[in-house]
Parts: sequence; structure tokens; C-alpha cells
Amino acid sequence: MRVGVIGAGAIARRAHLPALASMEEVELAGLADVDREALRSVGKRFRVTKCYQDYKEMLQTEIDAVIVCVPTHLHSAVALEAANAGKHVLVEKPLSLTTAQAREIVDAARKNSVTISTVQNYRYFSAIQEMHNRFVSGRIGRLLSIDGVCHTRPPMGWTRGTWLYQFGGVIDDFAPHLFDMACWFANSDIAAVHAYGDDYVGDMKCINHAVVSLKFDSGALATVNSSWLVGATKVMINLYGTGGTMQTDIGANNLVETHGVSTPLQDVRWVTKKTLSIVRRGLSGQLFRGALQFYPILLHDFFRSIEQKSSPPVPLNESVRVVAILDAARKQLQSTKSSGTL
Amino acid sequence: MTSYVSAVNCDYDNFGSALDRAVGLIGGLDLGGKNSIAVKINLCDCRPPETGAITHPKSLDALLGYLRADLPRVPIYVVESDATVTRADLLIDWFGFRGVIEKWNAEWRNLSHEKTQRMKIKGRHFKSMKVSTLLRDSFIVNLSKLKTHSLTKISCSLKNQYGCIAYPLKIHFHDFLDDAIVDANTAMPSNLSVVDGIVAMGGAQGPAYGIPLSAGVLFVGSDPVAVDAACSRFMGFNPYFIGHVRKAASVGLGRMRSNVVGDHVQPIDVSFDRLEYVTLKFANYLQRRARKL
Repeated sequence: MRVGVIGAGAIARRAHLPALASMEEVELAGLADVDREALRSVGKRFRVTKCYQDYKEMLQTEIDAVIVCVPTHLHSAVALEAANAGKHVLVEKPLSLTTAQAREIVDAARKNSVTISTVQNYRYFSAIQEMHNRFVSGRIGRLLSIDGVCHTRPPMGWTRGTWLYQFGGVIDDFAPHLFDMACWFANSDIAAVHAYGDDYVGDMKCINHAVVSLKFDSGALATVNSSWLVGATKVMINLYGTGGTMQTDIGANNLVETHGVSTPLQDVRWVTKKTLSIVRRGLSGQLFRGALQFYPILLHDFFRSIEQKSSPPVPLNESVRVVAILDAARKQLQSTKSSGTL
Repeated sequence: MTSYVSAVNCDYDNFGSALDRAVGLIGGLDLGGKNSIAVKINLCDCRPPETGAITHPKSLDALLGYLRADLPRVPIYVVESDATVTRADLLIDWFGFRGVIEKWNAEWRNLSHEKTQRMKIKGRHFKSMKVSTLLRDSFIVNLSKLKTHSLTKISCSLKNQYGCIAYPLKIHFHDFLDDAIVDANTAMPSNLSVVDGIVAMGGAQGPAYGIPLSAGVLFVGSDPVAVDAACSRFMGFNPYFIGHVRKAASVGLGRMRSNVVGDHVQPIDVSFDRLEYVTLKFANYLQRRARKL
């Protein structure tokens, strides 16, 4: 499989390129970025054979698939160009900025018979996988509610780019992972989206704290609480069903399932399990690599779906759902944003 | 005489045909001269049917359909009593049983409001028990769930029959629960036991707050002790260590050894945490003691 990467920013440098370099079945055939200096240094570091300042030039070459690592507002233009050039496309989340753009991408995938998928690496945490398996087996009965929390720092160290502060602000940062997982668990179309949020600093001029509520066609409800301001970092998702609850602290990769009353015995076991898990993951180094450790697996799954002509790890309709939520939430947040400070 | 228990694989879509086959395997349905049928369902708590805690309306629908097919004119009563934390009349409406009962021209009767007659029994705890005249005169079909229980380890047909006691505050009997279950079955023995294990319940917090498990199985028999013993084995328990099953066998309510016929059903892991069971049982004991102070 000959693969090209479009965008040489943080996510390409920290996640995609190291993963691709470690995969024997993949030839890293090209890297494209408008920033000549970034292209030169990143290309050299990962020994990319061919570097392009214009990604369209790379699309004319004999590559099978491209990975789109450009800022969100550019996803659709690049993905469409790649699909129309007959390349399979893996796009960093979210698939596009607007639902209309996402639909264009779906049409292009169908028209050109190419596989298009998005990166949703949070699905690969073992606690999330276990949660999904248990949920599908019916261990918590009918799903009533999902609540997700992503309280993180503003993305200043991770990326020097400022594009995340435009458009939806905080809901474009980690929240797409939680929207994706909520849709994955609910396995249903969205019936309604309500978003509340604001610039709680005053002069940051972007949404830095928001709560988005969803209602699914199945009747299940979800809330995603995302913030760059809350004074404790946490990424978690909880499921509440008629037969019990499951709570996951994603950072700690820890799952707790509760049925009936929570006993002191369960608390002791949970603390023991969490401590052992942290020690084990700390010693193996997994703890410090976070969600980036799953890129080799998800890339492998994506390439295998191309070879086997099977469904990609994140089917396109699931990616479109996430875009639809973000699009609706962004519009509501922009229309209700206050101009003053708290 | 050997007791036969049939075990068949099924789901809610083919419950009727599976039930027909299961009853056929144990020799068919014989009302034995009774002129009415009472179907004892399980509404132990306000929990939705998909949790495996209560009888599923689809199971009742299939059972009533099966009974009506052969017995179009026999009065059928669907019965349950109030319990410490439930009001059966409300649950019948909330979880869609009313429509099913009306569909098959059956009648809903709350045993806590029915006429009763005191009956002398040679019980392990009680010397007499108030028995609903409706139950006394009817062929009793015990439609129970396959569940674990935080006090009795399992809750299948014998434990479901305990729910025929009209007195609502049955929590008062928890100090001698095994004996009370045996006495209820002595006073009001069921004639046909149907244990719905399509969605079973595991964990140590049954019968209401355990873990829903898709087991896809149905147990049927006319000997409730044999049925419960088979269910115990299916859930990974030794029936000789289930107090109420062993005691029921000892007073002659049935046999623990039986011939299990039908499909080859594999035992399931019900995730019954014995340490949690002991902890909860002890906590329950302390709570009861505290209430009495």
C-alpha cells in the first residue's frame, strides 16, 4: 500500500507518520504541506521519499491512499480532491466542517468507489472496547442516557495553529470523539441537538466552555460537557441503561460497571483495579502515550478494509453524524454567544 | 416416578412454538379437572422487562396464545400480588401487560385484593396460610424468570410462587425466607412451571438489580423442584446448596434429580460474585436488625 500524508502539522508528526513508519506493509510515498520549512524537517525526520508543497501534485502520483491531516475547515476540499483522484482517504476527525460538505464527500466516495473514513482513535481504548462489547451483549439493558466529559487545556502546546479557536472552539477539540462514541453506542440517528456555551473568559473570542445535548431517534439522550477552563482535566464517558451503568475514565483506561447498589466491596476492588492498571500501563509506557498509541492499529484496520473491500473502522455514515452534530451545535452556539464577560 | 424437565433454546419471536415443543416434551398439558387457569407472573420490582427482572409481556403474550389455542373457553387469570416495594396494579399498566391480557380474553387479578381462605399446612415456618380461593380452584401456571437472588442465590419457579402470598410486606419473611418459600409452595403448589431465561439475570444483586444476560433458553416442567434444580445447574450452582430447593425436596414438593430433555443447553456464566453475595446478605441482615431496634 502506497500512502501519502497531506499536512505536516502536529497530528501527522506525532501520530500518523510514526505509525506509518512502523508498518511494513506500507510505503510512505509522499508528504504534502504548504509550509516549506515544516515539509523539509518532517520529511527528513521520517525519510519520506517525495515531498510536495501542493498536495494536488501528490494526488497525480501512483499512491493508493492519503491521510488528511490539515485543519478542519480544509478537510472537505482536500478529501474531495483526493476522492476524485481515485484515492482512498482517511480524514482526521471531524470529516468536514458542515453537513453539506460531508454529503459531498459521501457522494464523491460513492461516485469514485473509494473508501473514506475518519480517525476515531478513542474507540480503541481497551476500556471503551470492553464497554462496547458489554453494552452490545445487553449487560445494561436498554440505553437511556450517555454523558461525556472532555475537560482539557486549550490546545496551545499540542499545536501552534490557531484554527481550533475559530468556528466551534472547544467543541471542535475533543468533543468530536465523544459525539462519535455517543453515536456508536446509541447506534441511532440524531433527532435533536441543543448546545449552550460561551466565552467564559471574555476576551478569548471563542467558545471555551459548552454543553451539547443530543436526543437520538431511539429515544436515548446524551450530553457532552466540553471545556478548556474547568480546573481539572478529565475525559470520560458514562452509559446509563435500564439494567445498570458503565462508567469509563478514558484517560485512566478504566471501566466500572454497576448494577444495583454500589457496595464498599466494589469500591475497594475498583481502587485496586485502577491502581494496578495505572502501574501496569505506567511501566509499559502506555500511560504516557495516551490515545496516540492506537494509530498503528487504526491505520492497519483502515488499510485492511481497503484491501478486503469491507466496511472501514468508522463507516462514512457515522462520520457524517458527528459532522451533523457539530454543525448544528456550532450554529446554535454562534447565535447565542454573548459579547460580555462573566 | 421420574420428573421430566424440558430445556429448549428460544427467543421472544419464537416463544410460542418453543413453549409448545417444551410442553410436548414433558407429556403435554393436562388441567387435571380444574376449570380455570391462573398464570402467576413475576413483577418483583419496578424494572423494565428487558432487564430480565420481571416477566416480559411478550412471554405472557406467547403463553396466553398457547393456552388459548387449546382452551378457548377456559377462564384464564393472570395473577400477582403486591410486594414490599411494588404495587402490582400499577406495573400491569406501566409495562404493557393490560393490553396482552385483554388480547387473549384473560383477566388480571391482584392476589393482595382477592378473597382468601386460611388453610392449615404442615409448614416449615407457618402452621397456616391465607390462600386465594382463585388459586385453590385453578390450574396454576408459574411463569417465572431465570434469575440470581441476593438472598436465595436463585429465583426461579419456587421463589416466584412465594409471590402468591397475598400479604404485601413480604420483607418481614426474609429472616426465614427459604422456609417461607417452601411453605408458600406447600399451600399453593404450581401445576406447570415455565422459566423464561431468554433474558436472564446474573450478578449478586438479583432479583431486581442484577446483570441482564442473554441466555435464550426456556425451562418447562410440572415438578417445580426439578425445574429449579435444572435451572440451578444451568446457572452454575449446585442445587443441594440452594436452601429453598433442598428444603422443598425434603418436604416432598418434588425431586432434585430429573431427566432434562430437549435441546442441549450449555450452562452460562451468571457472574455470581460469592463474596459480594455474602457481603450483601450480611448487610441485609444488619439492616433488618436495625429496623427492629
